[in-house]
Amino acid sequence: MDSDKTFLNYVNTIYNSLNSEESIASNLRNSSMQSINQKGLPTHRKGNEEWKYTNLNRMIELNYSIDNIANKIAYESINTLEIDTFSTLNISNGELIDSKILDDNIKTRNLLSNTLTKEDIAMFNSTLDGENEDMAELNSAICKDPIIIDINNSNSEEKSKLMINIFNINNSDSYILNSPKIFINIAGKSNVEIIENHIGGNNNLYTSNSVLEILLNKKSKLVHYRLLEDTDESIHINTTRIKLMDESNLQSNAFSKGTKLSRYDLKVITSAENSYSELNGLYFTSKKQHLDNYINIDHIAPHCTSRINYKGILNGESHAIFGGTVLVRKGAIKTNSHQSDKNLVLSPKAEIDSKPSLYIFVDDILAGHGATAGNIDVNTVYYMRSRGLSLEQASKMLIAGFAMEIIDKVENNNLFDFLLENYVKKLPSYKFDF
Amino acid sequence: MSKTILEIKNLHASVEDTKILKGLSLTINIGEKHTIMGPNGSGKSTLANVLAGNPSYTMNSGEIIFMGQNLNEMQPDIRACAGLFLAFQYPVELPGVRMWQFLKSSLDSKREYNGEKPLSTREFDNVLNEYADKVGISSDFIKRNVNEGFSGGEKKRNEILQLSLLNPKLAILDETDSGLDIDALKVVSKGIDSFSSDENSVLLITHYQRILNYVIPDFVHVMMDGNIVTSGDKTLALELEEKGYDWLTTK
Ligand SMILES: Nc1ncnc2c1ncn2[C@@H]1O[C@H](COP(=O)(O)OP(=O)(O)OP(=O)(O)O)[C@@H](O)[C@H]1O
Ligand SMILES: [Mg+2]
Repeated sequence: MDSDKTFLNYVNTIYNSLNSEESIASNLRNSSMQSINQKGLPTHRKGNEEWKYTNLNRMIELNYSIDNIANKIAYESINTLEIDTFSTLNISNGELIDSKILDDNIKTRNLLSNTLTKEDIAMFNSTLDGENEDMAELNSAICKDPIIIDINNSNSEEKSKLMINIFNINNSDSYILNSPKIFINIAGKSNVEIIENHIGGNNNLYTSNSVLEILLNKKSKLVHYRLLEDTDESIHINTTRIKLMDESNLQSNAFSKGTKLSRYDLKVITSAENSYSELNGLYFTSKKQHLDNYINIDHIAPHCTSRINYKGILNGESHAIFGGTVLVRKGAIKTNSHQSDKNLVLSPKAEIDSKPSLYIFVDDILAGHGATAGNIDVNTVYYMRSRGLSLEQASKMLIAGFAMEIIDKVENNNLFDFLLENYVKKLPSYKFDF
Repeated sequence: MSKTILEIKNLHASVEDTKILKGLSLTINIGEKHTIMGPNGSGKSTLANVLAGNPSYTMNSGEIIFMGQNLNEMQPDIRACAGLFLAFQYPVELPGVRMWQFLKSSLDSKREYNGEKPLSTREFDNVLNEYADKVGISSDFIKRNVNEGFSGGEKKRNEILQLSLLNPKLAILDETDSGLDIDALKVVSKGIDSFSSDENSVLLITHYQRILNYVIPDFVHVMMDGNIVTSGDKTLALELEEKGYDWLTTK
């Protein structure tokens, strides 16, 4: 319990350091901070299914120093994916530092700027429903600089392309806690591609507790990529909520390399009819990493289709989790949903808990789910070796092949190459017993 | 003077503690085409797999000499590089592994083993296209994953494509002619026939006399219960087709 106190103390220190002048932002922070102080953090409540496999003590116990509250720090020295056709936003330790906007249809504002209308404010937080969102609430209490992005290219032939770099930089030897928050409103009939790239400075120590909200309005289309380039020692918690309006179309692709502890809490909400969503994910874990995918779809409106297709490659003594629920509510007739999670477990000490669940409260739908876990098939390796490939070559090719099923869904060529270079080429090979 | 490529002496082999091969001996010289026929479960595929080095099979006793080397001491990939090839009865699907990448890596490995430089992409493409054309595999297939979603016949054609590319010293073909339509059978047979020369040898496992019209064997062996029970020339195959195997057991 002591570490809990110390952590909350650290959170309160950050809270108190933020501008307390009466504003929309400070009001939001205030109510969240009160709630956190009352409830504590989710890990300390019993019977909490959502956090069954992930113990936040691993985050809380770290050494945070009240003298070390993150500031804007330059990120220039870090190599990261750059694509020159993309507008770019650079967020460092939770604050928007600079941007390069190539496209008039992309507009960014921050909540602190007070240029917001009532409608803007109403939209903010509108994808959150408060259920199992304690970490989002923590973010809300101490987020310095909530960012609102409006994208409207309904009158343009061209796609709007945006890269959001979320840097975490800390040159000290105690941890910092960063709380970036982004709200993206995609106007009706817009066509958008977004890369959300989480990046850590070399070997830096940090906890990133980020929140992303996306509203996909009528007939809009979004391809969303999420890259985790965090450091080994970092903690990464993310809450993402995506709300789908009529006939909107979402492709979400999450590429995660493990960290000390990471959790991706994604929920897609089908608020209106005839939306299509496809959630693809690929995660790699090794060493003693812990990675928790908590992937949910809330089918509210009828005639919506959803696909979840996640794959994991586990090595070392790592632990990966695939959980979450596809919920088909009473009114969601003619829902068509499928969720699948497949894992390649390369080491006997690695552990996977793959528990996708499906709750259906209506007839007349089509839904299925499945989960698999296994090592590379010996007979398959034998076939490859019988063609002259070494054991190492064969296993490397198969492991990469396993990953390619997800990477092949990436239509952006720059990103595709980046994934080959930074993910696939760095995959392990496996030594068999024979 | 004939040069021996493969010499099997008194081979005993088992799978999961079940003895399958029981003292089998066979010698194959360069330039020869051998056929093995025999009832289901008699151990034909077991022999093929023991030769190719399938780790699920255990060689209990006996000796296998392949081109002067003790085969038992060689890993499956080394056997392949040294010139042994098995066309699988059930070719394996390789999810996520592209044909091009797989074929190129296979050939590169073999060339490297023989002290040759890998082919450039262009050189390889030329060779690949030529052979793919011959077995009727279109360029679409080259972009696909190895055997994934291929029909039975397409998988067998793919085995022949690999045979042509790797150009082994000894080709073991395990029922490559099974499950083929008439056109595919012709393509596959022609593929084997054009591979075959007096520089290499073929061991063809089959249930049907049909393919032997294209690939004319020098020897036909009959395998029963883990051993070769009789051998003859191509007329033996015709006889088997007519009479089945029963007359051999009562003989
Ligand atoms: N992995 C295995 N585990 C257990 N038994 C096996 C295994 N592989 C083969 N066998 C057994 O070994 C025996 C010989 O099988 P093999 O596949 O060599 O026969 P075959 O002559 O090739 O038959 P077919 O004509 O049907 O292909 C069979 O009884 C088979 O059931
Ligand atoms: Mg067989």
